[in-house]
Amino acid sequence: MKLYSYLLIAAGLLTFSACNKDDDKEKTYYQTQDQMARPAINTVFVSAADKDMFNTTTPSMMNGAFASKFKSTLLALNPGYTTNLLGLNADQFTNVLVTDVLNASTTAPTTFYDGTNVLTGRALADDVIDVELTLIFGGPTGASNPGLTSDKVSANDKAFLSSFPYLATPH
Amino acid sequence: MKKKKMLLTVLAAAGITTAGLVYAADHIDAPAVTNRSTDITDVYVFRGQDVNNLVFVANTQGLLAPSATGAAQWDANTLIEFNIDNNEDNIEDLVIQGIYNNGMMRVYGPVKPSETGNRSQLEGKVTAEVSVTPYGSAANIGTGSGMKVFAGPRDDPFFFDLNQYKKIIAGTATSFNNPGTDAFAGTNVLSFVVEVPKTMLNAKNGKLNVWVETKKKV
Amino acid sequence: MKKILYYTLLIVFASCKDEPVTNATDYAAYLQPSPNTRLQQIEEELTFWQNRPPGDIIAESKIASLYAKRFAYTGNITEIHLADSLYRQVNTLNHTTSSGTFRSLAANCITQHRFLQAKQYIDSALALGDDKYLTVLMEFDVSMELGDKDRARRALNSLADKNSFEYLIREAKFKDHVDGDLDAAIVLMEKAYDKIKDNANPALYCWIKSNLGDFYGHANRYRESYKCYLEVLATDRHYYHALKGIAWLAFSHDKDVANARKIVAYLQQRHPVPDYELLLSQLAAGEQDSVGYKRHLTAFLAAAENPLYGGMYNKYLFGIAAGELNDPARCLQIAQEEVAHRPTPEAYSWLAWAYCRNAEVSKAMEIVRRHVAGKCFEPDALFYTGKIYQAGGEKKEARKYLQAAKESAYELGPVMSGKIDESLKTL
Repeated sequence: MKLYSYLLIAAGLLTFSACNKDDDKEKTYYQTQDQMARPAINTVFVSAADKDMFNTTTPSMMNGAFASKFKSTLLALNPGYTTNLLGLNADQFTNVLVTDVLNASTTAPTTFYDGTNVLTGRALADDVIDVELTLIFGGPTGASNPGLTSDKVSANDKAFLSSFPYLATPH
Repeated sequence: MKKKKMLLTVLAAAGITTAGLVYAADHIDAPAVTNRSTDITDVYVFRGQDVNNLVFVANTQGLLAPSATGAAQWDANTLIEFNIDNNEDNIEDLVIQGIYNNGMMRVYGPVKPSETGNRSQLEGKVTAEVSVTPYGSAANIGTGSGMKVFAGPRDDPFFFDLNQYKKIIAGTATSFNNPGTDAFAGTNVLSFVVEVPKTMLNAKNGKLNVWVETKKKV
Repeated sequence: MKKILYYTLLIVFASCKDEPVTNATDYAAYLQPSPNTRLQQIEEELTFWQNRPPGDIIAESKIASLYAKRFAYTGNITEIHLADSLYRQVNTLNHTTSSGTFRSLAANCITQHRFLQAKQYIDSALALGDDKYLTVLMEFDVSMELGDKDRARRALNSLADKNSFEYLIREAKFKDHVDGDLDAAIVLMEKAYDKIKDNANPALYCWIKSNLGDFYGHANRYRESYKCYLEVLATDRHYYHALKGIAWLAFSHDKDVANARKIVAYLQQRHPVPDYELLLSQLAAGEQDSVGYKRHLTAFLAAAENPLYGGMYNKYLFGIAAGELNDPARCLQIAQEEVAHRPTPEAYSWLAWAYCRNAEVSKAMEIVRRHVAGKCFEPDALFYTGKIYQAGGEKKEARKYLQAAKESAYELGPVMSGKIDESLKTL
């Protein structure tokens, strides 16, 4: 019994080192665990039951799989939704949201939304949460539901750097 | 010997039968899997100090207290991948990959991936690399192929009154407080930052769609 | 009869021809008090989150997890109860949106051996559906504790990556506990160790190494076991499980009671949990010191019967009620409680043994046949099973199980081994 168990272990180790050698020849693959683009979209619009699925659905497939769910979530969050500051009705708005990619421009200055430019990227200082809350709750003028359109936290607690790597040093 | 025997007689009379119960069940509970290297907290894409460049930021392992930051580790089996669609179909045309290896963050790309979607492999050759900046040290900046790269702990740039938001969603509050409380204040993340010349990105009509994926070695 | 026991014990004690595996100079440094930097880190982190205003569930969740981490070093069970109440508070906001708090609550319940409650939390987490991978891992853990090996197997089979650390350590547990194949379990644990060894997160490294140490010990591979424990201590000298492992090696294999006692004395200063009194009672028994034995056992009972521990020490409380206290009524009470909380083959082995001790041999035999025989490989359960078959007059089966128990002499310790030899001689 003992001898047999040692043999087994030796065999196991041999197989293992053989595997490691094979790694050089065979391809090593990496499989998606999590994905993200726009802030808080997943948190706000995706139910717990769909979260794992959403996080591994490639963006080009998200609309088909989740658009109607996004729309019902939007209308549950804000039953009075008509249009928003961007003039998007519920279908149009959720169609924009459901494909979770961060739009960025190689020509315009970067802003999540500054009143003129929309989604030309995401700068570190952008108050993305207020933008999203305003678009969800603020109605056509952005002035509806004033208690819900801003979290009243408008800036980071540490100043960003003007040069690479831009993010502030850790606390 | 006699003394021992006497003792033992007492012992046997006392019925020492429980001896041996100490060790058998002593397996330790399975370790908790938390704050995984694959947990993405935020993604940023913005124009660099040199306006001809775009900066890509992927943050992982959020809500690190300062005293917990030094122990936060990169994982050699986790690939961090910026996916870049440059022709408006939401399918990645280019990827920029970062993978930790023995103290270094190695960058592959931007390069057209050999397959799109949930499965990836490291594409081509290392285009830039940097030694990971330890907590408390000045930022190491790596360069290569016209790019700059950083990997290490940073202040979490995100700000949000997440607690109040959760209360609103749970129905225990009806509006945000004024002022709100930034739930991320004072906390750190592990940041992977790459600055790339725009010319390497071939944006059609000046537009890109970007998302970050973390992928685990299988 | 008493004479036989005496000589058996003497033989067990004297028959150790193996070279000792432990050497006090290897671990002397770890018995010198030194600041626990990891504990200090936990304290600092706690201070950070405790400075947050009340009602911050992110902070509360962090604080709860830090209490649970601190418990590993302090052994103070109130930490677990504090963590529990914080998690419950956090979950009032999280229970419809995120499964994470359910999993934390379940982990806390597992620590407290409240397995049925843990199962409820895991079922709630599964119903929510997010982070299913993490929930399924715990579904396995809880199912194993509850003796639901089919559900445990299904959970394992549903994991896509059969090569991940999380999968391998659980497959190892299944192999060991359900299939009784310790050798295969060890191979899987070694494979799991290989997965993480290059990316050493100290907590995970210590976990796998000390578990490997235990597994090697169970397989009578003492030198490898000892080496593992030393490697753990080189990484975290305050990882008490490893020191306890060395104490047990020193006692059970090397018969070096003096050094075992030195280690335990140190552990008791640093990590006040009831377990060490039990270990000390074994050391005393090994030295045939009946006064010391009783004293430590009494001290253990006083500590372990603290209601804050719930059923955490039921295994030992049962063993003591069955042995030292010779209290069949109390045995039956503990066994029934345990079967109600987790109907595992092991718990049934206690119930059967309790009935046997209450002179209800046929009832005991029926339980053994239905729930225990061929299903449980814990050494004490093997011993009970053998003794029940003996009482039922099935000598062949009795011999089989007692011999199987005898193979675990190391785990059972010298005194229990003597008892087994004694029984075998009468068969």
